[in-house]
Amino acid sequence: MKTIDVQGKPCPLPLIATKKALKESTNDEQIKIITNSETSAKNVIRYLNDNGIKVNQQIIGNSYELVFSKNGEEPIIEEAEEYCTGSQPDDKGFAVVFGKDRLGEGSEELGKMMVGGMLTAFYETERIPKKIIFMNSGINLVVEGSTVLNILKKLEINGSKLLVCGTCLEYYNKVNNIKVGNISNMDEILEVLTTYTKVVNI
Amino acid sequence: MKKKIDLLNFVEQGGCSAKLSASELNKALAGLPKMKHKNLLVDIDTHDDAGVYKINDDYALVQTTDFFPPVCSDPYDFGQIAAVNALSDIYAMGGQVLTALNIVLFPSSLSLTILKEILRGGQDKVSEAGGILLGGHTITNDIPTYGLAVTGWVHPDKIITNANAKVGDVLILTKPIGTGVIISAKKNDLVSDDSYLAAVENMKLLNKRAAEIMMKYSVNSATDITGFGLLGHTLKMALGSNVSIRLYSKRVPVLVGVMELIDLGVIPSAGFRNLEYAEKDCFFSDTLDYNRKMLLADAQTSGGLLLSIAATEADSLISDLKKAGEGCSVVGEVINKAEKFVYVE
Repeated sequence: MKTIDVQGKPCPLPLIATKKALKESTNDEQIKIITNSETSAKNVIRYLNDNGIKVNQQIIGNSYELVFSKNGEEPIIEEAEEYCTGSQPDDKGFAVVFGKDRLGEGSEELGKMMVGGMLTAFYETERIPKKIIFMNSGINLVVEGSTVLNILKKLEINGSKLLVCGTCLEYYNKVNNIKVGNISNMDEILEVLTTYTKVVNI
Repeated sequence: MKKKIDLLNFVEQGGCSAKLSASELNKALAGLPKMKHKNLLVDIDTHDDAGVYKINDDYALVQTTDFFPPVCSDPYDFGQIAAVNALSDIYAMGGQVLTALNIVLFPSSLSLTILKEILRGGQDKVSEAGGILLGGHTITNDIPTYGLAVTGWVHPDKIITNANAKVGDVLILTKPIGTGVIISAKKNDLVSDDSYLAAVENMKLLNKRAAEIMMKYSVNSATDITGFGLLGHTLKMALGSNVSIRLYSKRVPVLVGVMELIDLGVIPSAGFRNLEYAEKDCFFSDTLDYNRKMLLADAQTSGGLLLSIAATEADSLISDLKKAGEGCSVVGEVINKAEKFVYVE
């Protein structure tokens, strides 16, 4: 069974995930969508029913578990596995935070060189960070003149989301010089810092 | 790229449309005494766009209000769209704008330059509508919210309601639809800049010129397309007029990028809610594409006018609208009252 946990994701993201899962699944593969929004659950069920797919719905605590498969048959739920949110492995991957534009303390020149080395190593060893956050002088890495723009671009293409602190860009007056990544805010950054179990601080 | 405040960050992510559902509102209103008066020409009964109160035989007031949390990123755009959306109800009744009052909720933590931009947007559109802004009322609130209370006027004999469509009429729509999908996609960073900006421009467009042209013809019925979606507003027109309406889904104009987004699954909750509200009175053809059906139910912000006019007059109205640069598509026809109120093909 393919399980997709969209708890905490606002609508219409659960529906988007549902459509994607259907597209990628085989006919009789069971798909489980877990959401904690009643409205999202309702919309997903409505969408599936409209398209001839029966859904087995279970309400567990505050979450709704919807099981279905592409062929439309109402699935017979396999013996329910022990479900405990506390012990669920974190499938989010990891996030990297650049609070400055160099690696470690000591020689500034060495620190700057090592940033490039580290980013390249992430890429080459296929340890692609899910999120890379740039704060304070860390923003120098994503603006004009940075020597690591190319490797950041490569990471972005391979799935890293680059979040750049907007306030920091403003402070350093570099809003117009950003070359890679998205301008972000404290809300979004905190969301990453508080929900990722692995956060690498540089 | 210039960093600007993104007002959409204040709205609950994906925030499935701020409007209280029609059924919940009905529950709240149930049992409250209905106000009746001899001068009250259009009241809440027909779910029309605005109320109309007769002053004398030549003059009636048209009054309406509308306000909502941000539907776009830029404060100046938001001010314009909220104002255009509120003013639109006057045009849908065949009226002209006289005065407007600001309705403002604004976070005390936010820079006042943002508030100024919102108000400038509203004021610019009230001016463009030929109206005067008299003032307004502002309170603090976590989510910025803006809109207008608008007063217009109409000749009592020339009121255009949503309840007078005649068998044999054709239905003309003056703006493409899909703004609900685009706004939802924008909140989740799923839309291209081009389609987003096209939708913003579309929402900023006043229905003034289209209404002026409409008034030169004997349009039987009109309404503006907003929260209930094209499907819901068409149904209201059919119900109010006691006729059935055939909607040609394939002829409905769509904003760029919307069909792709719906196919991806960007269907806001308001669309499902609208469909739920309307479907018992609708018949959907077997050949109707599912994505098209969800498009018709998509809640619109500052949508176009839906005009019902005798087929014999329609061609000349359409050519006038085209000459003025207004959008116009024939999206349906009025037929004899049948089992269902709306037939979608």
